[in-house]
Amino acid sequence: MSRSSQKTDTTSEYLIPESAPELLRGPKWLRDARERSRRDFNKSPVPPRGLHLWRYTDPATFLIPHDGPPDSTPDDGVQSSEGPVSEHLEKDSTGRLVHDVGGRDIELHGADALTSRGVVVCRLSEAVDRHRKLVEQYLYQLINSRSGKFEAQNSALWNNGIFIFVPDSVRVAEPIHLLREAGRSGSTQFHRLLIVVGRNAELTVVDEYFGGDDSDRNTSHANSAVEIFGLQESRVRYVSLQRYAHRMNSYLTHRATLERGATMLTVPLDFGGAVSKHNYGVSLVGEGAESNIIGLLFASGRQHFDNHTRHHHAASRTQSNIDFKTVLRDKSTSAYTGLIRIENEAKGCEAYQENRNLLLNRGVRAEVIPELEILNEDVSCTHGATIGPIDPLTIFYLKSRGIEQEAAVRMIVAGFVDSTLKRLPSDVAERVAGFAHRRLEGL
Amino acid sequence: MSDEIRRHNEDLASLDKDYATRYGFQDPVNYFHKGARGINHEVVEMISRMKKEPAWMTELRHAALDIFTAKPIPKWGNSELLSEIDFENIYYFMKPIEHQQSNWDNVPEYIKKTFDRLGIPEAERKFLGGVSAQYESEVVYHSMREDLKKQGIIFLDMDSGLREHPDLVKKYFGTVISTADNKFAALNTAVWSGGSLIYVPPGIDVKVPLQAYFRINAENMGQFERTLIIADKGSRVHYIEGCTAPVYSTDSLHTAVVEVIALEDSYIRYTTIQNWSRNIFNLVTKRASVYGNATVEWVDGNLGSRLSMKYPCIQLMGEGARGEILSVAFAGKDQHQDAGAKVIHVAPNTSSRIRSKSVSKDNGRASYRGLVKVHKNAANTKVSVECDALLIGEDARSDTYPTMEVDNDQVKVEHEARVSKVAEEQLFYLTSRGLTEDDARLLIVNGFMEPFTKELPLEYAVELNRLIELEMEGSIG
Amino acid sequence: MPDQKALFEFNDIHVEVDGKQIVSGVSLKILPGEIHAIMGPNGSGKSSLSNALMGHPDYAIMSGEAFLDGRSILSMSADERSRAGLYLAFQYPLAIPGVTVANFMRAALQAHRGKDADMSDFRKLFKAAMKALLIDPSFATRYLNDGFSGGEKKRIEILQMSMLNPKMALLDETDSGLDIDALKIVSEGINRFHNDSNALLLVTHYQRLLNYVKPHHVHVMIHGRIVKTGGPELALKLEELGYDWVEAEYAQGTGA
Repeated sequence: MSRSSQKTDTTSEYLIPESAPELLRGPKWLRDARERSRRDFNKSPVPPRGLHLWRYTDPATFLIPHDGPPDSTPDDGVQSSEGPVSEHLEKDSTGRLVHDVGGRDIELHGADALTSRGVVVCRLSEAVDRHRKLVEQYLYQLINSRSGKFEAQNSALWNNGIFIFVPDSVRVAEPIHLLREAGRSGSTQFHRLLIVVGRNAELTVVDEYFGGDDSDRNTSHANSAVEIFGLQESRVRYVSLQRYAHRMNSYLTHRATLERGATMLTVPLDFGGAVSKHNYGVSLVGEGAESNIIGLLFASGRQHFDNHTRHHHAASRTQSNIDFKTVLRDKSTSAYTGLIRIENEAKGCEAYQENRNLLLNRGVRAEVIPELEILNEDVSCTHGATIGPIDPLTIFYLKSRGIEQEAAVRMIVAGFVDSTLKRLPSDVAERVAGFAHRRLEGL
Repeated sequence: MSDEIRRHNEDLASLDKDYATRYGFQDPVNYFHKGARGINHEVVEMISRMKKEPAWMTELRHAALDIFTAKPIPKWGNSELLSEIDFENIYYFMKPIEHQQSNWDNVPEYIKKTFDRLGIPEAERKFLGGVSAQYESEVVYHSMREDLKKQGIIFLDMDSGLREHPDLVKKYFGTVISTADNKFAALNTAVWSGGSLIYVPPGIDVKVPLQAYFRINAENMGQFERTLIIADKGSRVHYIEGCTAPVYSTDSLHTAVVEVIALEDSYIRYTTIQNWSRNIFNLVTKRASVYGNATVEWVDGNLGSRLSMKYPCIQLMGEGARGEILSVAFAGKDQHQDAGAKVIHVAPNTSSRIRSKSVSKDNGRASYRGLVKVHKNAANTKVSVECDALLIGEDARSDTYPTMEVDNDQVKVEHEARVSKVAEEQLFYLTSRGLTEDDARLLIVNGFMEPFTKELPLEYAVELNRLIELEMEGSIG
Repeated sequence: MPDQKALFEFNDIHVEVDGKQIVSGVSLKILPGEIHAIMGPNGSGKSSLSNALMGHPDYAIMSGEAFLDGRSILSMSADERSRAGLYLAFQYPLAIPGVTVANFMRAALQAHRGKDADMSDFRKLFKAAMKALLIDPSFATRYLNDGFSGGEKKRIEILQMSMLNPKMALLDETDSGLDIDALKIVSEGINRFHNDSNALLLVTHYQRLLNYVKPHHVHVMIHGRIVKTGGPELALKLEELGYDWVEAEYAQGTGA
């Protein structure tokens, strides 16, 4: 398995060559930043396995050779109009749908109404020219060459980027749905997403990652970086829906920052891929900011998920809440590390975290590390975690009403999942419920 | 030395004023033997030679020294503070007197006075079945009630234990904690001296606690006691240890290794009240192997030291084995208590419970570092972990770092943690009944610690409450 | 061999919990249309008996036999027993977060009727049953027993009974935790359910419920055995005198 492979970074094939064409894209400030990132990536060692966040996933999983020609354009045959995409297009013809097929031009449906109000949704590479000031101000502020080896790699090589900007006081009612398709078999995509939501503005983004190969060809890779800025009093909802095909390794870093009075809902939904290591972090830097993370993970086969959430309270009277649920079956594994950190100067904060793991059969493995770092006394903070199978007494209760064993299990798991979906705003829940339920089929 | 460290040292004297009057006195001592500072193979050879040890132990020590030298300082806990330890400035072996005494009257006056002031002989008369008192590297006083001896119970200092029961020691020494387990276990294995050997024969219930008292007197002294407890099938024993040291301006090191083996159907409780002075690095490895239907309980209180890194561990090796860890930490000004607990479920039908309570005051930092591991074969296991942290003061810090690794689906693992300050409503309620705010706060802290104190023998509970009172006064004044 | 006339019959039932014998040889025969009550002090084994008969995994039946409508049930799984017509109203119904009352009820009824059976009447039946027990319609979309009060849980148990329409219903301490109004509503529900072709076994500590649901036969259970059987008057005597006199009689009888 790739998790136990022994690749090291000493071989030159994993270094980003000076000649990588991505490095030459964009204006000078961007080229400089890319070059800096390239050097930092090449310089930094592969994180050692003992290191905190790498204990359960081999970093070598995400090492990819850079010596071949760059790979940003998939061949068209693979998944051009795969079912789900057209499904969305039909259902959502009036909505805001952005289809990003591995670096080709993105398609934006229903954009006119938005652009007239000053909302920007475009390729990041275009925004670099057209909205230069904004992009220069915000890009790389939260994720850059110093954030980590793979973050540096993305910062150097991102090729599929999307930029979303909502001006002050503008409310985007309909969710903007990003469809981000993986490249062809054996390829690597570097996705980048930059979202800036102005003061008292409102935005919902559904960021859907899919595609890749189900057959036994080469494993594909995705390395994604998401930066979100919620300015004062803004309301942001971000859903990350990962439903890649089986032969896909996904590395994702998400960083958001919330100014005074801003609220954010982050919804990580993990269903697909072979190995996924996703890291969600929200910094509450303005007084009274509030962040909620509601996550759901369903693993089967030999899937491996390594999720990390981080709530960083840097301002007073900020609130955070995490509800992260995991369902494991077959021989799948999950590691979840959740950190709440409350700084000394952040007084009167409230932070909660709950992590529940449902183990459906023998052979699964769950690791849970819910961490707290509390640096002042004026806090209210709790976390709880449970790991275990379905309570046999719950099954007995359902059976005593005539429901068969398998149906009882299905019902309880669906309930476990639904209690998460129910906490989501209905428009968001609608969009993801179908995928969640489809994932439960065949249970 | 960084500025921060220097400031810390300058602060020590004033900080430890209360501690100083009670425990912090120093004895001017003419040591029977005082080695040189620093560690190398000659020091190891010298220790082993003076103890007239068998060759296997000498070899084990030398091998351990190599492992100690090769292993880096751990990157977790508080590696910044750890890297301040100057291993070359520490005395690794000091022998206060030539021969251990079993009659209190024969103990040299200055040592007698020390332990008198600490209340040791009094406690022995009152309720203990045996007492061992270690001063620097060696046990200077040791006694056990005759009736216990007759039952075949072994309670000796480890040096005598190795001499008198070489086979028993050889059979179990290093089997629960291997030399290479961690840097400090390796250091202990290289230079260990003193500690206790306890063996309880099958079916024997030792109804009175056995106690060891550890005292560091000299500046820059390293104390490396080694304890091995074996409860044979169906036996029961309770072991208590206490630790203090005087206040010096530079640091001393306490690095113990404790191995506990509970054979089938036995019961062992191990109670510690660690109240080292605030210039001691307390880096202790404690682990128990628990066999079929046996029970081990660690009751672990950490009040003193500058930095403690201690995570009592229970390995549930046999079916039906049970483990309980009750850990309490009080981190006052400039202290870091990195305490925690580990349970490893190897066998099926095992259960464990961890309760951790910590108080952080002023800029004190209390961390809970825990591990729960359920192996593939450990079906039908139950684990419950509860961490409660109380913060007092704007700069107090609390961390929780629990790790849970579950490899079996027939388990029930529950983990809960809460961090809070003293509730205003509680304070108000108590002050409305006439208590001063300080008294009210103390009452609340004592209440918070109650699950721990109620597990202690009465004398210790009283003592612990007094210690907490001192700590609380220190903050308020 | 089971009695042809009996609706529900069990003989010499022994039950163990955690290796400890709790029920030590209990037998009973219940005819269609009958209402029986088993009364007894706490720890007498009466709840263990009903849980074991339903197939609760923590209660092991070590020996004995049980027949529902002439069919042996002890080798059946709990869901099979349910579909065969046995019902247990639990003393402490479990909460199942995420599963709404309506979805659960529909799944249970579907299981009883068969996979492909028509369910178009479900909503109507469900609404009517809720109304009859004065259960607020909002409960349909709430999670099963999640955050329900003791009285609400008991009402939901009776709701399920009325919808699944079992032949034999065991009611385990259904009156506990109910205030007087709730007790009346629940009792009315039980009486509405009861007819000449089904039967009830009420398991209870107190006589209270029996004021509203009149039993034909009352059995007293102590130390895992039925030690006395009588008519409704026995319940009244227990209410007045408590269980001590039965205990004393029993001790005398066994020579203990």
